[in-house]
Amino acid sequence: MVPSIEQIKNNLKKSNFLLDCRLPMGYSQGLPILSIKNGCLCITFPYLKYQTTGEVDKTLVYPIRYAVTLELPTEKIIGYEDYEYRDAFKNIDFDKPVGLFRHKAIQQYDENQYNEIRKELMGEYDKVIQSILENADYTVSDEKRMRKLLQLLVEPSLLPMYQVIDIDFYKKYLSKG
Amino acid sequence: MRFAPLFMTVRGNGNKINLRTKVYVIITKKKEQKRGFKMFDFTDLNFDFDGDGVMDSHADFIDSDGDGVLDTAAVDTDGDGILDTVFTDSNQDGMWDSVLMDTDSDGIFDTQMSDLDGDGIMDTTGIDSNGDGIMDTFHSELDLDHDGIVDTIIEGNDYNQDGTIESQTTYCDTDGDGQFDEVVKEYDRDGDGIMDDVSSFQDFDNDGNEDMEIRERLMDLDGDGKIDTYVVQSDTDGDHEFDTLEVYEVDAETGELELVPISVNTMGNVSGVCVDDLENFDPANADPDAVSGDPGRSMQEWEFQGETGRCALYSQKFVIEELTNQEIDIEELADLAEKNGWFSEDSGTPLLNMDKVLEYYGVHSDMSFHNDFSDLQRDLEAGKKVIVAIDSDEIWYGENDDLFTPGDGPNHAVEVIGVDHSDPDNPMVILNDSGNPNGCGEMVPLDTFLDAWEDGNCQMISCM
Repeated sequence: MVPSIEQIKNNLKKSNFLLDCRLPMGYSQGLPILSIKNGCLCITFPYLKYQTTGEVDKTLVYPIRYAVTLELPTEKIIGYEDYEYRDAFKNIDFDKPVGLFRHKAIQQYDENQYNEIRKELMGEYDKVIQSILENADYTVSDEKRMRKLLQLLVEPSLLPMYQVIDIDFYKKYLSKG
Repeated sequence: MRFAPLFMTVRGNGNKINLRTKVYVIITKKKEQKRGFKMFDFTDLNFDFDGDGVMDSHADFIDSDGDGVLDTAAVDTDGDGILDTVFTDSNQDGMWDSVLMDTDSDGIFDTQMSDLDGDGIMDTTGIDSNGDGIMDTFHSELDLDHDGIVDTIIEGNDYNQDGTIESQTTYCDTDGDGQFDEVVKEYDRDGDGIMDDVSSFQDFDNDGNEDMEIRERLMDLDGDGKIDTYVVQSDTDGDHEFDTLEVYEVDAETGELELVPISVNTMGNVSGVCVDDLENFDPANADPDAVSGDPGRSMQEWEFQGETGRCALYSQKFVIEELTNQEIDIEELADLAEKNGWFSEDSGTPLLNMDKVLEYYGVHSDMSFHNDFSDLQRDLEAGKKVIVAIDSDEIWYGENDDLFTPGDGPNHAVEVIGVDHSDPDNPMVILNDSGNPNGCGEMVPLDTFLDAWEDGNCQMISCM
């Protein structure tokens, strides 16, 4: 039985492993990255910080700082990384915001509408996972929809980091080209 | 926004203090009633309180500036040989215009009353709410137009006990119709002595709701210690959303405002809590049988964390001070936590490190996750102190559908100091929230608290 992405997220959130990583309070899961590593499907959850300022569309978005990677469907944790120590990110000041939430493309959506879109995107992740692990049907339109939703929801200011973290995922779903 | 100030009700660090001593009369409940008390206009301060013909008090009159005019009276009001009251006539008009009192006879002056508007009536009360010898809570009832009716009420707090007020709220009746129609809230967020966050609320139609809000802030965006940015926002239609935003540079050399609008996107951190709708617990008016915990006691330890990420440190400090009765210096505590790797000024505190300072100070604590609210309430009723991690956005900004984040993790630590079941259908969780300038005894609806707590895996640190 392949767990849904929501189950995977919640299991990780409640795991002792994550607690033991001692991420400072305020970091939460960003949109995950799917990848194939040595023939195994893996999912990487980036962790970043949002700081509400009390003003609409002026919530501060900070760089992705940490990442936890799991193998699917076992949910075995195979990696944890603090990007402060990755060479590619040596010039990033993780304590300075890189953008504002909501970005322009999603300013039309209120909290409920945003959550609905995000929920639909999580469903698209599930389709990819099930197609790989259970050979479930997966169509071109599914892939297009996932691309569209990801490009809508991922903070533009975080795209360069997604590109560095996983160039294949970035090219498949996030690059505009 | 509350347009109804409390009269002669001093709210110091959450305590409601009714001022009553032998030498003055107080407590007015309605604006029309007599306010404050008329200061003595005689020089004899020796009293026979019990009418037995023997003077119970003794006063020494002093010429403090050596000009030949008596201007200070040092009084032992109860005749116990200990000075407990000092009257001063600072303008030498023959009327005492300020008085300093030791109301609990512990040898420390804890109350100060003065005549701020110069009408001969004591209109301002200062209270030392925690007995450290520093007046930290102020309440003024002023009659600025001298028509005999209070038209301005000012409440101020020196939360960090540095002798300077960091938070002040002013209620004004600008048109003299007996209704308070303007409220100005001022905060000194960085503790430099300058009120750098000022919001004014106008109630044009006297319905008790704001019709307009203007918020002004002075900010140091580049962190060099100098104010460089002035931000003005206005909500002109009273819908609780700002309609305009203007940002100006401040000339660092002259301090003058340069009316050159700059892009909002370059502002960086514009943090500010917007939690004006949250009420504060009032121990004096609460039904003790309906309240779990001892919020009145806990509120005495509350402090505002300012623009720091020290919420978990402050929560632990509150608990340590409550349980050990020792005063902890937050700077020393932050130093300790940073040196040990439990905390970082830039990033804050990890969940699992939220009990490290408690442990260091010898406070026994148990950290657990995935608790029910009944667990939390049980510990409060057992006299334990409870710290939790929450998603503060749910509490501070929960009702605005346009103000949310994709983040669903805990980002803030608070002390839960009680639960008020006075309204059984709407129980309120009482917090010592160091992240809110008015977070002393912050009242949060139970459902809202549960949503915020769930984001923190229902973590709980119980201390005893």
